[in-house]
Order: sequence, then C-alpha cells, then structure tokens
Amino acid sequence: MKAMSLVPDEVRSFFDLVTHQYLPGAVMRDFSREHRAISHPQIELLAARVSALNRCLY
Amino acid sequence: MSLLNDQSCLAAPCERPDPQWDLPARDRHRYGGGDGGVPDGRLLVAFAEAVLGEDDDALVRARDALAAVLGLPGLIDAAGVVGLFNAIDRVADATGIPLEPEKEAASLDFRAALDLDRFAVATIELGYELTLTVPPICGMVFFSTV
Repeated sequence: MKAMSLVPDEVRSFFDLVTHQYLPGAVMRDFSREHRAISHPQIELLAARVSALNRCLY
Repeated sequence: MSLLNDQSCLAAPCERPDPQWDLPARDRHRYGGGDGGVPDGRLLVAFAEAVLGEDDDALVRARDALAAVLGLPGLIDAAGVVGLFNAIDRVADATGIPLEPEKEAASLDFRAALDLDRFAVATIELGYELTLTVPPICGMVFFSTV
C-alpha cells in the first residue's frame, strides 16, 4: 500500500476495484445484511482460498 | 474514509470470527476437502482453484456448476472476488509489505492452526523456518530459509 500510495491515482483505482469486486468500504463491516449476490462468508471463503493458493501470508 | 481505515476494513471479517466457519477449508490440500461450513462452499472453492489453475475444462465445469446454483449474478460476484484477491496477493508479496506487529500478534493462533507460517514469505517476514517446500506459483518466486 505504501508503494502504491506514491502514485495516488493508483490507490484510488485500487479501491475502485475493491468497491466493485469486493465490497464498498462503508458496508464491509455491515453484517446485518448481504450486499452482493454471494454472502459475506462465501466472499471470504473465496478470498481465503485464493490467498492460500497464492501462499499469501497477509 | 481515510486510507488507513480502508486498509483496516479489508481485515474486518477476521475481527469477527464465527465458530461455524471452518477456517481450515481454505487450505484444502493440507486439511482435506470441505466447504468451510459455508453454503455452496465446495463449489466456490472448486471455482477459485479452477480460475487459478491451468485446466480450461475444469474451469468450464466449475463455472457452469456455480452458475447453476448461484445464478449469473453469483458467478459474476464470485469471479470478481477471485480476481481481486489474486491481485491483492500479488501486490502484497511483490512489494514485500511487512505484517504489522499487531496483526502478527493477533493472527498467531490461527496462523498456527492453519500452518500459514510454512509459506515462504513468512520465513522472510517473520523469520520462521520453512517446513514444507512449495513450488513457485503464478510466476512468483519464493525464497526458502532454514
């Protein structure tokens, strides 16, 4: 993130992707309802499996 | 919303663990197949694996199976998540972002439970010994230290 923040437009583009492909920041912590066609647990399972396949520590 | 808040939001689900979710499902090769306690979890895992894999036929099968259950909107959202997190992983690893001390401490128990510290990047970031040799994947290069 620090690397991208050297190019502010890249940070903005990154979070545009996050909003459209994951969740908007304002609803990431809203577990009271679902915001996409797949649920929070389904989203996180996908994200976690991808990260595990990529051997991502973070 | 500040950048810092945006970053912390990405970890939000980790701050709300739910015992009904089966975390080891995300590392199926070690723990065996599973759905993580998540509806249609097996289909989702198969789809993620197929997207990152090289078997085009398997991808078609996984995509069709997911669309049949979740519909086209569900498939599209699933594809978006897989694509985004594949990119996030690459950015994180390629730039060598350090694991913040507070997250290192907060994740100690489930990193151990999931054996995440065997990932090569952990040997660099955290100084742990690499206990399992893993091949390079997706064009990324890993270094092992003992």
